[in-house]
Amino acid sequence: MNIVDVRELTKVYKGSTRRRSVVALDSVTLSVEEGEVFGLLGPNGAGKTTFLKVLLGITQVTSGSVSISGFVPSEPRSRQKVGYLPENHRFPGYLTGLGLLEFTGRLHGMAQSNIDTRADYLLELVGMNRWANTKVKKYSKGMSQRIGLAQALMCDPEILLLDEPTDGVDPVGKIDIRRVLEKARNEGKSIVLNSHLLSEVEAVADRVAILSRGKLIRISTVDALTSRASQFEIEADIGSQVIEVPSEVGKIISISSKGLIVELVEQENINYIIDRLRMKRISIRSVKPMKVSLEQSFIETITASGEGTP
Amino acid sequence: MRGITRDCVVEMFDRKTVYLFVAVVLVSIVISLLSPKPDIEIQMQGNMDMTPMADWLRNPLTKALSVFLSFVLFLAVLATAGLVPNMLVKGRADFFLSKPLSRTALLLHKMLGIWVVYGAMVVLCGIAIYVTMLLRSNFFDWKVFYLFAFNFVSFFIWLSIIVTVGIVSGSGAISIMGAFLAWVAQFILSYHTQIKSFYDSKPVGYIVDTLYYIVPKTGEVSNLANALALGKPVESWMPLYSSLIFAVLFVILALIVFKRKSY
Repeated sequence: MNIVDVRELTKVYKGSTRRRSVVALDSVTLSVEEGEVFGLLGPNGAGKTTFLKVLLGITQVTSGSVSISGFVPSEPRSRQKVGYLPENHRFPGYLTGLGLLEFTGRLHGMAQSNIDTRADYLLELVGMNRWANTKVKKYSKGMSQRIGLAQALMCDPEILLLDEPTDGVDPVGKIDIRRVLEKARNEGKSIVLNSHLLSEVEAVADRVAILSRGKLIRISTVDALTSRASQFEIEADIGSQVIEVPSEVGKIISISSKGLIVELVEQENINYIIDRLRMKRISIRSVKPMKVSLEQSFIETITASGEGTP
Repeated sequence: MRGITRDCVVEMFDRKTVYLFVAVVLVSIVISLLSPKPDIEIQMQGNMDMTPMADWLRNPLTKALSVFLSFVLFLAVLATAGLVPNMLVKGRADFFLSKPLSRTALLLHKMLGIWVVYGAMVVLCGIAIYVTMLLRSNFFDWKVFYLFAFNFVSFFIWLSIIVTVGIVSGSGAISIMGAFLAWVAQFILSYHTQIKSFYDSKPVGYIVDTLYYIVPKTGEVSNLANALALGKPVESWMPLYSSLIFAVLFVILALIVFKRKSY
């Protein structure tokens, strides 16, 4: 079942006499399944933050349909079980960390006993119990992100919308946040993760969507996005033998005494390569499809789309 | 509601505006204590008919309290002008609007929270001064509570202006300017009969009259409260009704704009 369902979503920020209109989202159609970790990628100005704000009803839709947790965003019920960590947030600075969590709980209509238990648990989870009674305005960026993540988790959400959750966080903090996200995933929560740190998305996301200038240019599983279906790395004891591949089958990209990398016209041609190696009595240790990093794949996708950075 | 009202109290203490009110009250108490003690005159003539003396005493006490409450009300307007725009600044609006509250409920709860918390502050300041006056004069008249009630209502009228201007402009400074403009307009329009006779023109007369009935009249509401506190008859309740209608319409306008805005 889809927890987020978006059809032909368009958002245009209307211009004025001095400012032209901006198409932030252009006919975007995508869905997020329950329990899925979904990454939103794109260069600056791609429409990622607008997408999250539209899901929450913070930004009004120009056209198209949106549903989250089975409700349209204009219905407050749609946000009952949604946790949101905004980008560049400015939580009320007059509240302490604990006060922020309590206030969040009250806004979600939670009972006081539940608020107390949940706040204690989350402060411990994000490592902020020492700073629970310090005002939010005195927090460092990393501490703000941690308490922000805790407030997003306060209502025990079914879906977490996280906009740059590790922005400004040190490496240890990033690992801690990733740990929290993995825990949330294991609890069956859906997560929509908007991050510039592609390695982070690659580590936790099941599927990703790539947006550029408001358009959805690719949506795929992380595996499909990072694998090179036509390239294979073959570990084999080639030694000094000469291997030739007909051009209609593919070509050798690199070769050494311990193996070779081939690019094939069709995936099935790997059988031809294996047969040729076996005919030469070459021992094959492994055959793996080539993988690239999500970052490289992202750059290639953006470049191929011709959208580039704004 | 509970959460937002509590949030308003926490915010008030953090912004230190509460200390400003306390300082004003303390200064006023000192001034009040240093002023001549009026009840001496009454005790000296205790076997006489006290009614004229009571009226004589009631008038300056009520006027002084009324002026003090107007001043504290002015402070409350300044102190609250930035609260709604501050709630809706980039980065903070996301926090509030992502919660399972309708925008109508959010804004009404916030307004109600500000009204109750800061309105109560205005009334408490007035009570503190009145108690000091009581200690000095031994003169109690329950009618003085009209002043507290009407100032509480006046604060709602001002709040409707600053909230609406704050929602539309997103700026606390412009909210204050809006409230100031409304104050100037009501001051000028309080002379509407003189303005009409000065211009001696029907169209101008219509415009001035229309504006007079539209613009809130907190000055006249204050006069109305003074009359009630002094036990005088009220000539017309129109200033109160029309100001309240204006405030309600302005709140509705604020809600419409707020519901349509993207943050």
